[in-house]
Amino acid sequence: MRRRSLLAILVALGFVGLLTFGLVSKGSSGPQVGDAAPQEPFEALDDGDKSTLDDFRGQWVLVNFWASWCEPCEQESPALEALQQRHGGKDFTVLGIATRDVSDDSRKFIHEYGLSYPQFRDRDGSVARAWGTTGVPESFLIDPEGIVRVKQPGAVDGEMIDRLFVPMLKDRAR
Amino acid sequence: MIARLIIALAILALTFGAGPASVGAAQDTAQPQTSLAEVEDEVMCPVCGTLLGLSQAPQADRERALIERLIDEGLTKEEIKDELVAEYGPQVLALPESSGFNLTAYLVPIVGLLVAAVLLFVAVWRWRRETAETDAAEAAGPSGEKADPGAGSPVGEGANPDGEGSTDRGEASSVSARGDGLSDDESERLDRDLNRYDL
Repeated sequence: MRRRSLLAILVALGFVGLLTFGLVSKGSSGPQVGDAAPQEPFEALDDGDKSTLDDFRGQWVLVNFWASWCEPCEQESPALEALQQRHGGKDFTVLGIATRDVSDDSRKFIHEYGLSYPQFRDRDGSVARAWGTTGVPESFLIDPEGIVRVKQPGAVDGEMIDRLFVPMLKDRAR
Repeated sequence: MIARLIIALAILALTFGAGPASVGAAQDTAQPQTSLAEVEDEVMCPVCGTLLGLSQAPQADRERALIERLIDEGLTKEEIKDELVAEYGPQVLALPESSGFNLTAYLVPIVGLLVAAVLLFVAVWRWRRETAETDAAEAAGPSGEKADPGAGSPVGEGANPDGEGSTDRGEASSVSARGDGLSDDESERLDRDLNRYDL
């Protein structure tokens, strides 16, 4: 009786342990504001060269996850391009990451909306998972030290950009 | 004159130049080697996490459009799947590749079934052995009682070799010393059962 009870307890503990492990691993939701940004590599849309966020260390970066089939991405693209035109340069850039998208479709989208900022692709969604995105579009403002300063799920427009991102960029100039 | 000659030559060039090109074009839109239905049953929608054939998401529509373009180019099903892996990574395949670590996806269920079958066999074998031992012990029990004249059995009181009166013998068999109304037979069987289940 004691042996069987002990075995049953061990089996139950094993299940509880597995459940806990599963919950803990699923619970990680990517970086939050104040955390270091992930260094998951992404490849350039044009030539497939690998990069990480470290390659942009020293400047503010607005990382924007998008996809060509995503309607809100179409709506926010003009605002992001306007931001790049106004503030893009040595100290700041928008960085687009097309996630789980057909590369030809991504290029057509970029051409259609005249996006001039650097574009990368996330073939299998591993980059999006590392950043804890919940869908597309989603944007992260990263400071020159690689720390997440703003995390914005969903589409952004001009008003939100001026309210959330531009003040941070202006602060850096002081 | 010269102008007319140039125009005539140009027309000839266009006529004969288009010939091979049109033949080439016909060859480019080659015979389809597969169909959308065949491919979408073997690949996933990477965003939805379902088979492509089951998904109506916008991303799935783009993936289907890509597959149709590749079918029009005359690619085989395997070539199309290779292109999809190049676009989306190996997770786009509904079945993992049967090489490297992915082989475990096929081997683990087979090994698991074999182990379960062996465990089941062993469990049944042990249960049957225990049952046989119990039956043997029960068969030995009553013969021990029959050999004891002090048990109070009415053997000497008109016992019938044909079996009549066996009911009387059963009724008259002694009550066990437990005082719980069980006969010795029943009491012994109870003890064996209790011991077997470790109670």
